[in-house]
Amino acid sequence: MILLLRALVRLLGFLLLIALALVGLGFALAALLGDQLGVQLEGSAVSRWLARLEGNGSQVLEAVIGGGMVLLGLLLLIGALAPRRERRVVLEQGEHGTLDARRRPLAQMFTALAERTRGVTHAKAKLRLGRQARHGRLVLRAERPRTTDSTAVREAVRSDVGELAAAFGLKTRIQAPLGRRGRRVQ
Amino acid sequence: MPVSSPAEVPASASMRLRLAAHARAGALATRGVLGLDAGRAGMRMTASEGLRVDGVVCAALGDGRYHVSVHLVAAMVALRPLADAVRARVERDVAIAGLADRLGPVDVAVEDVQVRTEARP
Repeated sequence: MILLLRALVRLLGFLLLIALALVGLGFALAALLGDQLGVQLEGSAVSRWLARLEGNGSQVLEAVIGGGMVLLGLLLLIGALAPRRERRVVLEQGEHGTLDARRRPLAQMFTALAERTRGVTHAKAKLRLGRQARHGRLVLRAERPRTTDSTAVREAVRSDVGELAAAFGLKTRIQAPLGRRGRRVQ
Repeated sequence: MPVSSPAEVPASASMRLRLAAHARAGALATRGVLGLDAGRAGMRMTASEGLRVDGVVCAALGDGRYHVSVHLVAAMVALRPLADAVRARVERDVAIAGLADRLGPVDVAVEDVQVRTEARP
């Protein structure tokens, strides 16, 4: 979510800066050379809209636009200011220091370990980390050919990755579905 | 300017920078370490007096010691023994330089794991 908001901030920030620059240029030109350019604000759509805002009656559209702008502003503020927390998997923590790892390389490590297991054609590891250190979940999908038994593959993968997963305090769930055609056993 | 060896750091440099340079050299000399990583923004580093040690963050503690974090790229090896080896090597190198009493905890952060052969010096 925060990543999306950050991307939104970058895109909108860029576009809004260009729009703001063009509007500012337009106003400057209108103010300086309005007469020569024939720009007449009186009686224009802008002046009618301003008169409508000042008058009595329903201004639902303006209220919706205003509310939307406030919401967009809040989202942009969150995207710009919210710290991007990088969750890390902590293996050990002591007075000598901490050993931790980023999620992606660790998932790659689990994937590589599972793919080495006999009977596995393809593997993919997903790591979900909890908010506390040493709380997380490893979901390992190890595909197998028809000739191998699902339970046997699950057990073999568990014996290969279980020790490392336990060291990181990860709860492990291993799935061993049938692999796609054409994938070969390691 | 990036520092690649403790010899490039003058004796008059800050303690932070000297420790970081020794930690970097020690970590890179450890089997199983393929490199150090300063991060995408290059923020994981220690800088002082125009010099910069990438991949090592060295911060002062309240007791006069320095907390060192080594951000490394590891080979496909067991991580706990790797961290122990990195700490031992860093402590040894720092002790040889006569800075042992200034070294605090050494954090080992695995930023990436790569399946390739190690480039030994």
